[in-house]
Amino acid sequence: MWLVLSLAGFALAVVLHAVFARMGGSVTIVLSFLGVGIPVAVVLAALALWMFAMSDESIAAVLVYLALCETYIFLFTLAANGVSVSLMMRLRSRPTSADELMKSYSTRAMVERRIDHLKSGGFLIEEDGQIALLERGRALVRAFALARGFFKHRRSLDIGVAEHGESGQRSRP
Amino acid sequence: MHWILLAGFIAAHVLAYIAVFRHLKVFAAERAIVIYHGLAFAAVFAVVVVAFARGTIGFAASCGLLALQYLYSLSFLELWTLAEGSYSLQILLRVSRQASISREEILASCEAIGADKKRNRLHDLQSLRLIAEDPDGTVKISAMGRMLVDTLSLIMRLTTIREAG
Repeated sequence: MWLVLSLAGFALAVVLHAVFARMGGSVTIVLSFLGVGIPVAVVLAALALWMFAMSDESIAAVLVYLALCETYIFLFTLAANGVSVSLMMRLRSRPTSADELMKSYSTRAMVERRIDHLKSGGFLIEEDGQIALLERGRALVRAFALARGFFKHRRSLDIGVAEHGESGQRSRP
Repeated sequence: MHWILLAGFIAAHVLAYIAVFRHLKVFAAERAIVIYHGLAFAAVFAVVVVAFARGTIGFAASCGLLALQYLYSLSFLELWTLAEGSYSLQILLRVSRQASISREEILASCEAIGADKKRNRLHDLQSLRLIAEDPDGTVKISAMGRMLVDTLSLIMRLTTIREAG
């Protein structure tokens, strides 16, 4: 029964997110999922506690729900941002040579999409052809600097430097 | 009790990383981090299976414990990879270096990186057996790759993502 609760909660979160995603708005896809996922988690936790009291069943119901949600977030961000995923989707349409595949995937379009996502997410602003960081973008850069310091990432991220130095980072697709 | 034990294991795993492993050069590579967490998950899985088989814990506790370990590892790996250098982060850093920058400058900076990224991705996909290259040079998606892409396509339709990558 706890598992049914967990799976039903996840299905509800996915359906609600699909509805909200079609309503438009400037909220990023991850934030929009969190916007439905967190309230569903609260309701699920309350239901689980009411049905099972504080027990392995109620804790498991919430944890399995959270695990499913995190997997879903991982998969749709992979689909939205993954260079590998885009390459595989092109190959699904038709097999081709490696050179043709590389030519068909526009790096320019990929970067343009990312710039547009960052703008719609409120991290960048573009005026008269000039792009600048908004406060949210600066906060994100600071947060990532902290994270890079914590993980001891050594590789330079400056894409201006990377033209002459390292290239071909093996980060997430 | 089992929740406390797992919480203690996770805390020790994190502390070991902070105190020792993150300073090692080998842990700068994604592969090492994945193995570090993969081994931890395998260890927890083995203990949970044995405990469940012995009747020490029930099905709910088994699932919950594995879900907790999974949440910890996936969150860690996601954060590690994002901090290592997502494309969006690189763009933000580029913009942060000056008061403003033109779109064309960013695009020009990224072009060379994009080409390298594609080549690396093809190589990674082959090593994961998601694609295969025929002797005549034709690259095809494998059955496993097709399953993954079909799942992601369904998710894209649900979340109204128009284009991958």
